[in-house]
Amino acid sequence: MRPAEKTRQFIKNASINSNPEVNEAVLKNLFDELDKSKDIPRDAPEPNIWRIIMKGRLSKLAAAAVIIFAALLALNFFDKTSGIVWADVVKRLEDIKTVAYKITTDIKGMPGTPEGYTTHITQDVTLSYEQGAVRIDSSLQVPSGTRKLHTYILFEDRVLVTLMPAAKKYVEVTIGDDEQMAKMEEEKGDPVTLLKAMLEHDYTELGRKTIDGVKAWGIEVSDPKLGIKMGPLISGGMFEETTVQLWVDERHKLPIRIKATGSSKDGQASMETVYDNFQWDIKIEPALLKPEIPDDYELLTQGKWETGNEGEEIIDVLRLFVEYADGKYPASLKTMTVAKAIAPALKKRFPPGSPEPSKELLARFMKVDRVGMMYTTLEKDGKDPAYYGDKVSAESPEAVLFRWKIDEDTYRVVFGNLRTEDVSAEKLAELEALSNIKEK
Amino acid sequence: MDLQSLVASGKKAKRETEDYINHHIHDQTKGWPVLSRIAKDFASKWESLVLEDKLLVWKFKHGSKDALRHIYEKYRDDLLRIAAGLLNDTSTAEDIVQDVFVVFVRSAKQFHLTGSLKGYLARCVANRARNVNLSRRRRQTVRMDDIEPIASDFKRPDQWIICSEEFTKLSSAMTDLPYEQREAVILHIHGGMKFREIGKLQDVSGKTAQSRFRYGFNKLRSILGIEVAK
Repeated sequence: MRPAEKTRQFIKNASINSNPEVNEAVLKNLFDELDKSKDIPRDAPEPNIWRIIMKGRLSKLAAAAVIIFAALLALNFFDKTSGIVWADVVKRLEDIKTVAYKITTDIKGMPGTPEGYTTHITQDVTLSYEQGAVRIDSSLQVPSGTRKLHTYILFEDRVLVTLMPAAKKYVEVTIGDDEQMAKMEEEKGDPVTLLKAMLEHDYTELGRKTIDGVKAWGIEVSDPKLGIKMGPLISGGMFEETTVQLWVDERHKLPIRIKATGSSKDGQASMETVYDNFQWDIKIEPALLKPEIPDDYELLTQGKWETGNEGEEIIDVLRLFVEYADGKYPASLKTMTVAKAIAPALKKRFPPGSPEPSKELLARFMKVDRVGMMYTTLEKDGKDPAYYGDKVSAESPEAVLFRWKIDEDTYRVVFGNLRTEDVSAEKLAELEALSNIKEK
Repeated sequence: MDLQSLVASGKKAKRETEDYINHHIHDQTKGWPVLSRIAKDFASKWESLVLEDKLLVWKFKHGSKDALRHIYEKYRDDLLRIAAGLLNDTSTAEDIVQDVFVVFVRSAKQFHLTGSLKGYLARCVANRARNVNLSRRRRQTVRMDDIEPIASDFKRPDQWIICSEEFTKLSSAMTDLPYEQREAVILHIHGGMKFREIGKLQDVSGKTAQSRFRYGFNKLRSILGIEVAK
């Protein structure tokens, strides 16, 4: 045998043994871990957005928000049914196999950012209808610097993965069952469905103008006409006031620019977002849309998105205001309003350096991200929700704070002290009259 | 049926099983791969033939303790050897391997096997060992919990690794090698990793990883010359 082979053999043969008793003890511990992981309800952990926020002294809300934005936007790209007035445009879009575009968003008044600070977010979206996959590379400018995120959504696998390179962490979210998937696909947001939803409403013709040297014509729809079909970012519960403009390249019959503006009722938070740089039917390497998670990345959390329990989830969010904000509820259930209302209380309760909240509490905090979506889902599903947080606090224990329909003849009423009661429509009218509130 | 046919049957079954798993791994309602396409009397032999990593992982992801035990017993000693070889410190090596298994179990639901399971686990061990090594360079003394949180509170009852005389000699010789060379040698020989994979881990090209292996290996040969000649 040659010396090199002898050396290799020596290395190979240099063995270790493991203590059998310890082997069994470690294995038993692993079994315990496996049992524990089975005990965790599948829907308990959610995208650990608030953990990021808490660690970053609330200044990372922008980062958190973009995960949600990116995810929700991309989730809504897969409805391609037609039947629309602008048949040419819709037909053109239905033939599209791939698209890449850029989203630029400026948000003022993000919770945790200095007053007057504008959070600038850019997102490069790459989407393949053929592969059923989306990739969104996001870059956020927040007070502490620039953060980059890479989000992948694989529809066949019903999974969403967001990588956070700087932190070497990632979030994985699975998307419920077929029913849930179908529901999410109904909620639009992409150029195709935006166009359809706008045309279903009374839109305003903006006429023609030249955008980047291209002749385009556009339409505009403003709140309150916008419904959830406009997509979660634009009208799915982020802001009270929203306006969307869509411009189409006259020659090619394809969208060239989408612009949306939104603001909170008190005017303290606002957003302007532009979709442009559309590139249609480009070649996309399959590997580009496949997440590669480096081995040293830690799974921050896993979650599951599903619907059907929105009312109860909203009550859980409201309970946070009793526990941490002296029972002063948010003025509305728009995500931005709720986040801004709870952020100071949480900041006070969990100052930098304090022990991190428990996982259960974090899971509850994270529901804030979806509260607007949950409320608009109740609306969309015909559950006739109403919320009176601008008039009712925990100090009015018998006043109606929130209600929604749980079946044909019954409403679930949530009072100022968060007690719930199921009542008939007549009884509800009586209770609301006694509460001295008006339905919004 | 002769052995050759049995092996062919097993290979076919393995291929079909892998195809099945690849297509249905996210769909628990589909259940266990259907055996109907495989002769029934070969079912038990088939199982032993295809009990490879993908199947083990599939079972493990569906909560099988047997599969976890199988994985653990299959790779435990290899991982301990890799960790101990990289660090020349059995106690820290034990912590690392225990931790890698705990994290593996905890992330079962999200785990997707794209390559070899051994390679994956070896990389996890190597990454953690590398972090320990980096911290050691920065600080003279280091505790495991200074580096990264230990995944489990579980305390092992006793010393886990029992080194052979050869391993002790090898481990001692390894300390004379720069860490990257040591890593390349151990991961290639004990971890069965390709140079391309090692290069990825070390953030260098496969060729550079190969060069590191060659330099390390030659130096080791020189140091161990006497021992090997015996």
